[in-house]
Amino acid sequence: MDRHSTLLLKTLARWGGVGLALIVLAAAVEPKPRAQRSTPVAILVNPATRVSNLSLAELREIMLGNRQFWPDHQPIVLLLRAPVAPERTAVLHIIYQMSEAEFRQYWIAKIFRDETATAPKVVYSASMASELVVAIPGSIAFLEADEVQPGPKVLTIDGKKPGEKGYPLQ
Amino acid sequence: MTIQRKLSLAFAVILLLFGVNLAIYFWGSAERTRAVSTLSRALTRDSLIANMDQKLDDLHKQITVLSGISAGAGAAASSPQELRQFTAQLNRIAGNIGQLDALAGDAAERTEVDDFAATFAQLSRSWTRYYQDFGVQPDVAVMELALHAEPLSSELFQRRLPALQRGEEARVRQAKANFARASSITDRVSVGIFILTLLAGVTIALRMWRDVAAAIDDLTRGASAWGRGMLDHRLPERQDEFGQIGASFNEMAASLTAARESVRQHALQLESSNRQLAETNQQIEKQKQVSESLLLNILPAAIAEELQAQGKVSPRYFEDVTILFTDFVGFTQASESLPVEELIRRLHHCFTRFDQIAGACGLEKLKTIGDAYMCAGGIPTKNSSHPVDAVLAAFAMVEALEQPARPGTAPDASGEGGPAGAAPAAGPVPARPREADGATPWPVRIGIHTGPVAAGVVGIHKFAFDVWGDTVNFASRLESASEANGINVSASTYSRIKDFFACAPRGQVMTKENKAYAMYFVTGLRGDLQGAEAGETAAAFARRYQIYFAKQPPPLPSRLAAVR
Repeated sequence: MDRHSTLLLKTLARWGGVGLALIVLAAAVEPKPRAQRSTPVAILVNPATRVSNLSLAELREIMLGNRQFWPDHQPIVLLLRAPVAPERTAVLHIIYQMSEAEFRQYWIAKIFRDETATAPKVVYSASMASELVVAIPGSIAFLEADEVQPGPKVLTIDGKKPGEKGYPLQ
Repeated sequence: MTIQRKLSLAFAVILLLFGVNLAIYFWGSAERTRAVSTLSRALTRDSLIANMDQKLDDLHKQITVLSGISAGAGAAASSPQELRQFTAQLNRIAGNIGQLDALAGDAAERTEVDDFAATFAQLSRSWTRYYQDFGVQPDVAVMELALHAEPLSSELFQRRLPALQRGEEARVRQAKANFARASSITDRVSVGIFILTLLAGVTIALRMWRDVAAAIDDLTRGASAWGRGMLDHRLPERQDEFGQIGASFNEMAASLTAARESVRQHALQLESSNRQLAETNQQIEKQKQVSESLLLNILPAAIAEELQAQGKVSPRYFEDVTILFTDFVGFTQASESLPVEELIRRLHHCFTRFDQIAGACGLEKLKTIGDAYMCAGGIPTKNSSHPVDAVLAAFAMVEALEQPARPGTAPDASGEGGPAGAAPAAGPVPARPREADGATPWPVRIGIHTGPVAAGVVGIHKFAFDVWGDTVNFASRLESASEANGINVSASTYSRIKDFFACAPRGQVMTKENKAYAMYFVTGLRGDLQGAEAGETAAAFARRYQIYFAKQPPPLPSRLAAVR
């Protein structure tokens, strides 16, 4: 079903007025949310990024695409796990507070309203996410804290590290 | 400046303005054409850029959606057909860029297009690699997208395309501004030139009107003044053609003035000449009258008229003429004893009387030769009474010499001092010879003959009307053959007078040529004409005379009238 929807999207994206169809299709393929886990989700950024802490609101602005540059004017590159991945589900639930369908609808609308030049890039594994975060300047990715590998910088949210009490992305 | 030069200058000014207007028109037209061409090219390029923008935007959105939204865990690689379609879209954009490059007008545009093309080429390669790696090497694809494609697309959309668009907008604005500027300049210059042409035309027309009107006014006043005879009037000097005309008129006026003065002088001279001529004519007339009087004194009136008219007198032949000769008896002896002056005075007195008598009797005095007196009847005016008239004159002459005359008076027709009916003397009559010296007056021999003569005037000086022929000679012989106070006539004369006068035949009388001729002494009137009184005699004579000659007779001498 994902393949078909992808092909359809490729085709329909060539026309300007395909947003509504994409929304309908996205709603049709909305996956079932998994049961919440207790493993916190760590926020990884490129080691060269000069930011170490973000508030949850700032993180939310970044994830919604409303903030597209780091303070040093480095473009922010969103890396997001493919659907069904637990950290994606957690991010959708905690940060976006959207379902998968709403998430897709949100970004498609944003792209076709020319409110953003980029969209979250899909990564298919934790290792791929770690590698890309290190390789792509200004990138930001989400991984379960226990899957974090050396290399990327892990940000604190509201001054709290993953696993600490009060960390928002539990 | 002459009118011709003014007109040429005005024409040159208008031509110059026209040339400027034409040049501005062509310049404006070229500017507008260039602006329209630039505008058209800019609009075409703008359209191409918008088209590319749309296509690139579509591709960018497609890539963006493909990379993040629709990619799932099971994303498959792109098929060759999809890749070809994607590549075809890129190629179309590349074609548009080529068109854009071809429409580039200058180096700056070409540089912008080249920069855009270079960025697009990199983006195209990056997108192609992404498409090729999508679903095959997702991490490589994402890295390609994040590290190359998105920065390139960002540069393309945020720098290159806006730069191109701004450039085209600037060029469109510039083209519009150039168009407006050219139109504005053309309009302003055209209006300016129109105003200048109008001003020049009005100025030229006003000046020309003023000059021509003033010149015509001068000419009119001048012509009026000259027409009134004010030839000293002069037109003012001008530097144009009217000035030349005025100078010609002034010269004409000067010539007329000189001519009028000359005419006046000539008139004065002519008047003086006329006066002189009139005086001369008067003198000539007087001289002519004197000449005519003199001529009439020496020539018969008809001969004098012919001589005056033709300058000569043609010889004439008169068939019937009576010649009368007189000669004083004893004149030769008297001339020896009397002073010359007294002798001439006496002759003058006698011949004056004879002249009067001849005139009264219709005879023409011909000449005097010494103491001889010659006259003729029937010439130059022909008549038939001349033998009778000659005899009457002969009696009157004899009577004039016999009768005493009052001193200082002329004999007249009443018989006092002259024959009856004789014309009064023209001047004082000299005293008779007898009264001057107390002696007996000279008796006179008279010879009369009637016959043909030739008459005429000969010579060119001291004209004298004379007669020639045997009649003249025979008349002279008759005079010679006469006696004192005797009237000796020839037979031919006798035959013509015998009805009026009594004659005594003398028989054949020898002349000095020893020829014998019949001669008669006229003794008086015929008896049948003599009355008891002088008046009756005269009346009888007059009746016969009128019957014979159809005219009044000359005065009858008292001696004849008294005879019984």
